[in-house]
Amino acid sequence: MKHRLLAAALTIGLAIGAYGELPLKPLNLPAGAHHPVLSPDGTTLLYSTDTHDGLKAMNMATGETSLIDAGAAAGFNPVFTTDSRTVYYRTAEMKDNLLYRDVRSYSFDTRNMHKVSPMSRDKVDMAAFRGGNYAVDDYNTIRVSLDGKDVSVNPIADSHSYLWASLSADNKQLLFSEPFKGVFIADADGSNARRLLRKGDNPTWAGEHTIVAIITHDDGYVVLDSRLVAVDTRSGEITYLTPEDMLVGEATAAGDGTVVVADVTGNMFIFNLND
Amino acid sequence: MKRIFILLLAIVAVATGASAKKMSDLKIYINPGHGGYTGNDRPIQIYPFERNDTAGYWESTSNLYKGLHMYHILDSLGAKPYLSRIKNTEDDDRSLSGIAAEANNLGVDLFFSIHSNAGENVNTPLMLYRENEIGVPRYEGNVTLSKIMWKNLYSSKLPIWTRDKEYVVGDLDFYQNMWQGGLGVLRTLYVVGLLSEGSMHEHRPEAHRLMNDDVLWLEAWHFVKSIMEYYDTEDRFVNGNVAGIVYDDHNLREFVQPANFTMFGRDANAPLNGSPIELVDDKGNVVQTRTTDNMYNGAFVFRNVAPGNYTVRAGHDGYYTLEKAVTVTANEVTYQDMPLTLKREFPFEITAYSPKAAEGELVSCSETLKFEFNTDVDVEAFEAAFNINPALEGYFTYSDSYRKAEFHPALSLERNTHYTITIAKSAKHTDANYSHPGMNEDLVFEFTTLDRNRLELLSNFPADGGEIHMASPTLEFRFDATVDSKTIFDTFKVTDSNGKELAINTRNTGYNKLSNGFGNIIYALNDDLEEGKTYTVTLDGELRDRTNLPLGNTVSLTFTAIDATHAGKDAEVVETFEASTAMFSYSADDSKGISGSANSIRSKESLFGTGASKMNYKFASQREGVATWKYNGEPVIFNNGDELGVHINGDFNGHELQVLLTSGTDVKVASLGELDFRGWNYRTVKLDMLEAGFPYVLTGMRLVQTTSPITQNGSFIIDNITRVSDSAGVSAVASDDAAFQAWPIPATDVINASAPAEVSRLTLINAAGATVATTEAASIDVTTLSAGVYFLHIESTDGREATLRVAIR
Repeated sequence: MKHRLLAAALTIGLAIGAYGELPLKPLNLPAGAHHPVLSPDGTTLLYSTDTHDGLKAMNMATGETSLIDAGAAAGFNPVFTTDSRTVYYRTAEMKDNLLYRDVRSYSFDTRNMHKVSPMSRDKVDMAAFRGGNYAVDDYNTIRVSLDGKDVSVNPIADSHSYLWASLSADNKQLLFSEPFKGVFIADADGSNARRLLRKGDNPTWAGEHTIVAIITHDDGYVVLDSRLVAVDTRSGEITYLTPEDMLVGEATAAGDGTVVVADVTGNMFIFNLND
Repeated sequence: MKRIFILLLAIVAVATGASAKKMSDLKIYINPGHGGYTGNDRPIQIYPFERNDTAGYWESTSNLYKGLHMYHILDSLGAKPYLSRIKNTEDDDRSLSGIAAEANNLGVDLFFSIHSNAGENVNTPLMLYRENEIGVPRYEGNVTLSKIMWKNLYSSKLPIWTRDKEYVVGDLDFYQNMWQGGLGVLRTLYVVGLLSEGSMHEHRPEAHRLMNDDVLWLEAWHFVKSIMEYYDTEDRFVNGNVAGIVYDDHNLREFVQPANFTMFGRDANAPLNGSPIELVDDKGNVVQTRTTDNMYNGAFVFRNVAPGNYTVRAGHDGYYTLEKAVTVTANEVTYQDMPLTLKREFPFEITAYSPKAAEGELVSCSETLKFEFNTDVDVEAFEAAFNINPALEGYFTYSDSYRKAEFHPALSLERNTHYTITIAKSAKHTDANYSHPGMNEDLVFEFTTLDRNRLELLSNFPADGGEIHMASPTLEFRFDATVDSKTIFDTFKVTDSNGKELAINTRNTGYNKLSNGFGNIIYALNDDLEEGKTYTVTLDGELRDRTNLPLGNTVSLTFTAIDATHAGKDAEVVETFEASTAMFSYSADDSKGISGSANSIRSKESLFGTGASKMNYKFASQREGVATWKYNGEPVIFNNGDELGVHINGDFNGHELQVLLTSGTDVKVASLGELDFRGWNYRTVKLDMLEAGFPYVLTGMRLVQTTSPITQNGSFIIDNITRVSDSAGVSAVASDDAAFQAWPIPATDVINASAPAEVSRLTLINAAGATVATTEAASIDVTTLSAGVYFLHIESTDGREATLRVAIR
């Protein structure tokens, strides 16, 4: 798997990125590529624009890119099935200034898009399309689905809300962010919450005992600095992965340590934590 | 016809998909901007709080309360609001991208970020919306809603707005060249998103208003009203509101708080803290009450008032109660300010005045007339009651909230004048409710002025029609008194022939450098002048001395820029001052009346090359001083009839500069004139005073003090010294008699001489004029002499004599 990723990187271009000596290799994507999402098996990279317009895919083995859907908001939180062969996503449109969203799926095998449900203002449980075990944040709770049983948990007693909840590969640990308190891991049932970072966006599993997250600082209007870090979930050790002069926008990771990171202007880079 | 029209409207509505919505359809994400109490949370120091006191003004706090109010209003209307934060603590500073992600997750219809803006001397709402790229909004709805928001925020009459032009801008446009990616909180939104800068919190009256919960509520109410308009909801506010400011109708803000900040309109008046206000319906029932807070804003809002006719009643301790009728309309705000009148149930008094001259004491003509009162004065009545005899043009200023007045003569009081000031008893305070607001009797006082009432210009450089060297130009004005430095730049102007004003180098401009109370200003211009161009200088009559007396008449003069390096360019340069050492040294033995020691230094302030000699001096008194500097350079010979020239950078002190020329024991003095100029000038002197037939060498410079109380110290610089010889052939022989000969030239051992008859004596003189050898023979031994130029004086037995210039190698 790692070999295939590296092959893709070689195909795409191995020039060291503009960020000093860190092993950031630029992905040869059109300017303005944002919101990367790696498939569970790491073979496909989904990406969009900063405002989530359209959904595109890159074959990580060949570097080939393809348009999945040009719809508005299609790039917001697409959900891969556990076999990485299908992605579920929603497109949005403003009708009479109200937000409507549908549900669509795309098969990487047939290369066909399928409309799952029509435009509506209804809430849809997108995580359910994933299959298998999963965790998903639901504003002021986290819903954990384990072996077909759904449980809502509230790991932080006085939480404001939750974001970016996910389960570890072994389904034993829950990773999430409470926006005012930081990034935590807990047992899958929400118990024993332990803070990894005082602040962090988009925390993502990047290995059995490793997560990556984005630490940003702003002045209330604009982002002043934004760096990707890796955290060892056992020791709590934090490692900065991107240089100070890079404003990180978003990032995604796969369990083998592959990380794709986009800066705020839409340049995307790939590296592996194990390199 | 009407039916057809309605039908058409219905068809259009169906075709466009437009339909009236309910507030309960809407999901709205509210982001009160910032969060916490750090520097990024925008604290503004306002009275009476210390800087960064969390009880004082913080944008993070006012944003939060606007957001909470908006949440509750939306919630009460059935909409589904979400808040990005609900409190303000040190920890409350979540990431901008996390806020946007949460709004996206929730699938809201609208994202709304609440802020206020920086800007101390202005006050205006500003709406920012998300752009895909500069000039291209993410959604057209972003712009539409922003415009509605701006219109409704601007409709509020609680703030004083300083701009009436719509201010709606895309975020990438607004922040271009500043930050990557525009507003962080809008960057990744896929829904309609905008950010409101409701007003300018750095504008201090506005910061005080933003401490008031009613004001914050009303802004939130306008947010929701705008949303109703944008979504064209069936729901509208069924009630209205009544809002206003309670303030003193005459006393200024300084009456109640320190107020050294910008204010507009009624913000300049004293806001009244703790004023009870009642809203009374048309049946006389008090339906709502308010008390203005203690935050110096006087603001009140009666919220959610049923439409109808009401009376607003406001009072305050020590003030008359005021009632105003208002009509409340649904979905609108009725504004009614409440200016209250302070009770002053006593006569008006002048408690102090000046000048109060003692018997025989004379008053400076720079004095102003000052008055203090027992309360705030009615300005119009006071000025009508004021009389000065003899009449004098002037104007009034007021301070301490009209408790002090000052009459400023337009220029000054007249000199040697006896003035009588009368304040008629019609002067009064502004309480029209009191029966005797005027004074009990007239106030009359008198004084006589001194005999000086103007700052007198004594001299100036350049004179009208004069010239100034084009490089690093300076101009000087001298006065009979020291000048007030605060007035020296606003009153001075130099313009070129096209009327373009030249910039003044304020750092290099000096003033009051003279002695004995005399004043001056040396204006330095920023840039060089253009050779041959004419310039105009004006020094306004408002220039004042330190006692505030004015110059009076405006001085206007013209001058022409010259290039001083052109002068003397055909003359032979005999000293360049390019040597690394000073060419002159101060001679105390040859000087007198010097305080301390004068000196001469090598200066880089040269006209030519890189070196010049700068002479510094300080005379001990106002007269009879002489400063002498000896010349130490290579011998420079001048003969009778030569012209000696010197490039001089003068100091405008008017002392006479002389050149000392020596031959043997004979010292001649040639005057280069008075240094009555600034900058570089070329001065020459014809050396007719030298003894014909004798070589003179330059041995020094001398400055002879011109009797003057103005200055005793100064400095001047000299550069290239030139010579124009009277006879080009004088190089070897100073005599016109060819019968006198000397050889060999240059000589190494002996110099031989011949004369018309026999040689009776040879005298060898060095360049300093000293005799170094004599003989009665026809040849003279030079083996022990240093190489250089010497003068051989040959005397013949027939009585004739001559001097030849010789060189020894």
